[in-house]
Amino acid sequence: MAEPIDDPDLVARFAAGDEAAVRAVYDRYARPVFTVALRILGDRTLADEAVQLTMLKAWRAAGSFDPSRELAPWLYTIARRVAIDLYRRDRRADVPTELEDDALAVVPLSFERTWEAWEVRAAVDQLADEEREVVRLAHLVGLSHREIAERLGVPVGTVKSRSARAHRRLAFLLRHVAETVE
Amino acid sequence: MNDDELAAFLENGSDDEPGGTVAARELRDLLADETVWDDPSPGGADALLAAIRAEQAERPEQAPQRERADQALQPGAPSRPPAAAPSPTPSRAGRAPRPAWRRPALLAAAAVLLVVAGLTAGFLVGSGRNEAGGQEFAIAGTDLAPAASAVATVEDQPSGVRIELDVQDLGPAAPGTYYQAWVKGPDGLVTIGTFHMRGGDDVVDLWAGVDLERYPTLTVTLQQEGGGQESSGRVVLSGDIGSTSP
Repeated sequence: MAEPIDDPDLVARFAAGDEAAVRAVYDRYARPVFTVALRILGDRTLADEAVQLTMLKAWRAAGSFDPSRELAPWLYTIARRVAIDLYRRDRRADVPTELEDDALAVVPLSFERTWEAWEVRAAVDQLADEEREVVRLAHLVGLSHREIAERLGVPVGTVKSRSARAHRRLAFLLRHVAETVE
Repeated sequence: MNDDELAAFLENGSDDEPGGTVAARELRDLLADETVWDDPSPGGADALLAAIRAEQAERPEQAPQRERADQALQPGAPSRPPAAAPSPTPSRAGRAPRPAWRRPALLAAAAVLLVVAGLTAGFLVGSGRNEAGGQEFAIAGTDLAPAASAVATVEDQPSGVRIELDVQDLGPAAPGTYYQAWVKGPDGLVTIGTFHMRGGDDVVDLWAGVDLERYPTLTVTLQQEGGGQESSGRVVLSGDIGSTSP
């Protein structure tokens, strides 16, 4: 069973390498880390590497983490730096030496934009599986409610109710992001 | 825009709808972005635990290792700089330091052993090229396996490029996982073999059918069985083997 993420001892146990705590942190945050890394790096293999390095660096630094703070922004900061380092490393391997400085000057995406992506990913991950699938099919695949109902083999009314419930939940979870961007 | 309005816009609104705010449009765009829906490769938690266990075993007196986040995360700093020359001697952190008086005797004994071993095996250590004509390269452990190292001996053969990888302190791949070696460069990524290291440190024979000048970087990844044919991205060893000129 997954560890509760609001466990006050979670970070301390994560720092100690407790297996359940490591799995809880990974299960909760690996996907948002992956989303941020994939947006910056544009490469699944490098994004996978970024997830591992982010989690390992977080474990190493967890002893100095202030438990009164939220874990997500701290992990996000590590993830973004790791991804940018990998981006630079990858570019360094690809470009001639004389172009290296110019390549290193490139900043892939703005801080705010990747943070929004983290928040959206984290919100989507909190939806129930059947609601998340409806949202995915509607937004990513671009299907109508009727098409989703056919794809999933459920009545259109069920799709509509799942969709409404999911979007109300997303609005609640993402309201603070919308307020920040305004 | 309150929660109900935001929910309605996210569900039904379009980008040219006047009621949609910039923020709401950005959130809608992100919901349609594949990066929000793609998942990391399976087995990541197991690989992370294996890396943590390896690091704890390497530094038992520092478990868990404490590291200031601002020191560990300097932008632009490589996570572990590659070694400049072949360095087959593995890390021995955690051992008690030997008394100073014993060092000369041990060095002398080691030198004798090296000469004997060199004569026996027919290798000229330190030139970067062995007697058979293979060139040696240092391969460094990454942050996922900081104690690991390897020496790659690269030798052209009629059927391809033979890469002998002398692996030290990598640790066995956990059940359900295995190591996979790759060469990569601007033209892409080519696998050159798999292994597991469950018998301890060993020399692994790998073969490349591509020109290493175009695939100059050797990496070893930890893979999950059933995880597909692509690299997992969990790189445990990495180094340059592309410069084969003497």
